[in-house]
Amino acid sequence: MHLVERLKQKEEEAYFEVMDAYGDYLLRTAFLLLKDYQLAEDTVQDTFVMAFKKLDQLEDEEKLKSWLTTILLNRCRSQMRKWNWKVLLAPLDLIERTKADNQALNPENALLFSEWHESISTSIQQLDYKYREVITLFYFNEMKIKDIALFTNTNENTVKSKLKRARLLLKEILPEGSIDI
Amino acid sequence: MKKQLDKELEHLRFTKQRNVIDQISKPTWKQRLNSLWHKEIEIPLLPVAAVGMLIVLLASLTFADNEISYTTRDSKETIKIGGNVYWKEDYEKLVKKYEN
Repeated sequence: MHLVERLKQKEEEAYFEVMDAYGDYLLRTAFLLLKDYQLAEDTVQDTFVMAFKKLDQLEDEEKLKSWLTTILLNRCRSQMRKWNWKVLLAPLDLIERTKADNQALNPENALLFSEWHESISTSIQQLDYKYREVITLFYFNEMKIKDIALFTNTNENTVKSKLKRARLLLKEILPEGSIDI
Repeated sequence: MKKQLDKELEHLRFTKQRNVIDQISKPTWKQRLNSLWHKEIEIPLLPVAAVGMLIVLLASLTFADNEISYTTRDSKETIKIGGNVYWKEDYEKLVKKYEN
């Protein structure tokens, strides 16, 4: 039986198969977009819960991965909106939390953190959300411009110009000659 | 770039599979209400019938014990006034009362 059919039959094993197949991929996408591991994992969890509850809305069974990605992108956008409100309403609280997080780094983590800081993923995370999203979808999710336009509900020209701008910004952030964009 | 990103992010693994399963198997209030509405219950015929019969018996015994009093009248004569029929005795009593 097809995996989606098994999901519709509420087979627990099928749920695990889907999560094993796409969980890491969705988590990495969410992490690039949200810049927070815990938040990314919660968002992926919500994505799976929503997807499994609304399986009837999946039109083409072959497009399970892209359907999950669409749900994830919407969840990430909604998280970002929430986050923006949080920053606006409680900036002091956030600053305190960030400070506490930084203080919690032990020497080993600090070394990893400094290496991490020079990575491409961190550079992508330094971009604004609108650029981060197109860059992530284009390079990490390997989507075509046409698909990105569809996923982000914009037109292809907008995606192209955002991508161009995002590449320029990324070049400025990344050390010279570190990677070809 | 994709390879580099995959390498950098390879340590990130989704670990909340069990939470997802717990959440989707948790019934919503609508499902709970629905299941309550469609809940199958078994009513044992004999005990329920026995209890019912007992209630009817007790009720009939209670009513049987009560004495029903009837008013006795000296005369059974009636009088018709303005299209209404009254006991003549009562009517006269009332008239007498208002005349005094």
